[in-house]
Amino acid sequence: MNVLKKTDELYPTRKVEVFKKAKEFRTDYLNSLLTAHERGKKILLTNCETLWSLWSGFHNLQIYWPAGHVQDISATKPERTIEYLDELEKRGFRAICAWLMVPIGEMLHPEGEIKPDFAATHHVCEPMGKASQVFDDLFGIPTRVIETPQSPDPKRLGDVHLKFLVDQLHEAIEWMEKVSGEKCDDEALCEGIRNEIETEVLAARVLEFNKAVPAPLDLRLAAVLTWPAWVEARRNRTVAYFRELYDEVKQRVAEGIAAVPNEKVRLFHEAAPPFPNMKLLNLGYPYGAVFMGGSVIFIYPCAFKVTEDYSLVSGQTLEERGITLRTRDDALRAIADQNINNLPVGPWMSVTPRKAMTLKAMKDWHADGAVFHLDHGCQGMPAAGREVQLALKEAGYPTLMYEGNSVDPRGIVESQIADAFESFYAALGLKKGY
Amino acid sequence: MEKVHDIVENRHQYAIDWKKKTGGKVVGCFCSYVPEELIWAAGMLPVRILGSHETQDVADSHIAGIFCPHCRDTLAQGLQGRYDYLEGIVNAHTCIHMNQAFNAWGDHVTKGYSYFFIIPSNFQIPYSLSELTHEMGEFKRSLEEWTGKSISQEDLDKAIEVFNTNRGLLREIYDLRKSDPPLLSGLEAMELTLVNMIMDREECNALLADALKEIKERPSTIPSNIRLMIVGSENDDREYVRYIETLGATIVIDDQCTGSRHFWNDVTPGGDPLMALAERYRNRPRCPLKDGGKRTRFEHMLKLAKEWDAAGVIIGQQKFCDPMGYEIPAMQTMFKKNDIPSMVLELDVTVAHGLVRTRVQAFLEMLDLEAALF
Repeated sequence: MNVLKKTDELYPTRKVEVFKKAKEFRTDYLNSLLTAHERGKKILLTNCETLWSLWSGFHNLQIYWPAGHVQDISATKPERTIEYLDELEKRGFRAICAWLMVPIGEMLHPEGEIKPDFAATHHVCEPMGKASQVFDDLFGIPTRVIETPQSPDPKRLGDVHLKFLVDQLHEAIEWMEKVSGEKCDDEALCEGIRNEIETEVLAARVLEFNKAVPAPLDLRLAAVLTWPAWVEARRNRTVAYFRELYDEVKQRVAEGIAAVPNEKVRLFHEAAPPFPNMKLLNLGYPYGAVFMGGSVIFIYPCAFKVTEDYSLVSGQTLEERGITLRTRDDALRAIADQNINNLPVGPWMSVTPRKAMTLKAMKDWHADGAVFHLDHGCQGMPAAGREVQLALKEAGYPTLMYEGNSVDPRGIVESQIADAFESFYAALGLKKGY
Repeated sequence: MEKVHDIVENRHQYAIDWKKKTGGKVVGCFCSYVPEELIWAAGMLPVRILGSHETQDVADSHIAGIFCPHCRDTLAQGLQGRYDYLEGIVNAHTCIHMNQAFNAWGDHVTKGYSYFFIIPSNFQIPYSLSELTHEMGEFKRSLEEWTGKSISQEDLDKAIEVFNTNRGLLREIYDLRKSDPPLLSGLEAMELTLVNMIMDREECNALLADALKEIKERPSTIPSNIRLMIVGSENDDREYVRYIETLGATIVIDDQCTGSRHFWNDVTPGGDPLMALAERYRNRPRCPLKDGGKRTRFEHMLKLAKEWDAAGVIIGQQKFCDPMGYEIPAMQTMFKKNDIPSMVLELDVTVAHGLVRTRVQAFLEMLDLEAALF
């Protein structure tokens, strides 16, 4: 355990240069979404976090990743978030996945800004998979579900599972051609998929730099900087951005540049953060407690491969693997393989491997403790939280679990959470002040 | 019927006695999508892990309170040693909730065999049949490795025949609920379905045949009450059914994995038995989770409600069950369009008698009024 191993000496720090570009991605993305219909584009809502490039061959399609939008609304317009949730609650939906209730509520709300034309949901968890039926029930828009086979033991997923996903992806492309009336440009599809995989690999490598002490990025910064991988992974611009980000963070590590100058205790934050009140995560700074890792940034959008000993190791780009994509089938096989074999989602959803993965990651990223968010807005991310917490405790790590909501501001009792955080920092022997 | 009740009441003792008698292994199943035929064909006793419906304080440190009461109740029984007689456990990939109970059970309770049956959630995908057939083969191979016994074609054919007989008997019993008054209560029907999740199927078939005969021959004691259908997430709570029936209703049909969904369709024998099993599990009436993509289960539910002449439907949702939560508004709309009123009750580990009484009584009064007016 590394608790309180540092002196009071401050680390050097400086702004991340590419931060401006990350913000530009966000602004550009939101603008393109808001003006999509004016520009004659159709909007496809998709929660397929790691399958966006699937739609790269459709030039008249604007991809809408609701989770990104929900983060923005929750953080900046809490009252509007509640109104959107109310839209569904008054239609009889109770306490289902808040990440989907908000975008669906927005579609129902008279002042909702984003009204998708199609929905393609990705069955990574049950709420995501079932949501397609709600789009059909309430709006009658064309919907599609794509299911990625999952197993707690990735070794059990083989050719039959790859084919299961590849077949669905072929059908999804054909479905989109039919409902949008646009022919898929296979060359653009290959390019998009190649870019998505490279972006995910680079994102993982950037986060591997956070193993360094002091951490070059804190959780919030890491989330903002890797955000373009969530929404624009398929573009050449995004790959260029991630190469730049990689170089800059590498340089920060070489120079010992910290995200937080008084880093004393390094913490993982497990499950999604409380977006309606992100400042809660800053409460640790005066104490020198820094969130620098955790499932929210490791699962998506990073290509971390899970090794035999449950280490998370960044994967390889297609180029590094010597793979060239020439046909639609090549491209779909590559993205299916990426989802099944090169992302840690499946094992992360299961108790036993997640315990082993978290313990190993805590060690590899030199974390001193972990804070678990018992998030009432999402069932997938907090799953296995209690068991992982027990495993960390047994291994001697200090932990805290707090109840909150990653989306619904009504689910966050600020004073209670702040109290829990501050007590935790005090229990770690930390004192306020640099 | 008394014997059925006794076995359900003393289900652990039944399994322990079965082991003594046969020397066989007992395997706990976490979900009705576990292909029990394969376990039975390997000479073992598959038992469904049912709820205890008792409050507990041992599972909450393993599964947080935002997950369903049933998964926490399940794990609690394992932690309390109530299933210590199990040699193995199997879960079919269902929901986040049960997966947590299964994994935690594997880490803290069972030291023996543990198998996670990979199963698609979206059965509408044509290729799901090949995947499921493949998984049947994988599971068979895993059981063979574990037991050291090969499962022959004859073993599989025999298992399919016994399980089909079992399902046929249960359907016949359910048919006796169509009359007014029905020939058996909802509670009796629930115990008859639960008993086949506890007993050796061949032995159970004899018991079900006796029960069928007894029900047909005994003088009817079931009053002509308001006829209800229950729809739900996992629900094996006999007290819930008993209590609703004390309020002036008779439950005549259900759509639950611990009820009709468990036995509704047969395996079509002949050909590759693994594919036949895959087809059966793929085509059975689906649970909310397995009915991804275009819905199929509503039509089946409506057919049941109409054929069994249900005046109303009680939809029981395990607290925090998202797949069910997504469906409820559309399900209620569907029933409403067909002039079948419905209400929603949240299921917890124990029955909240006061709340259930108030809400069900109001619902029954409304149904009674509708019947009087129309």
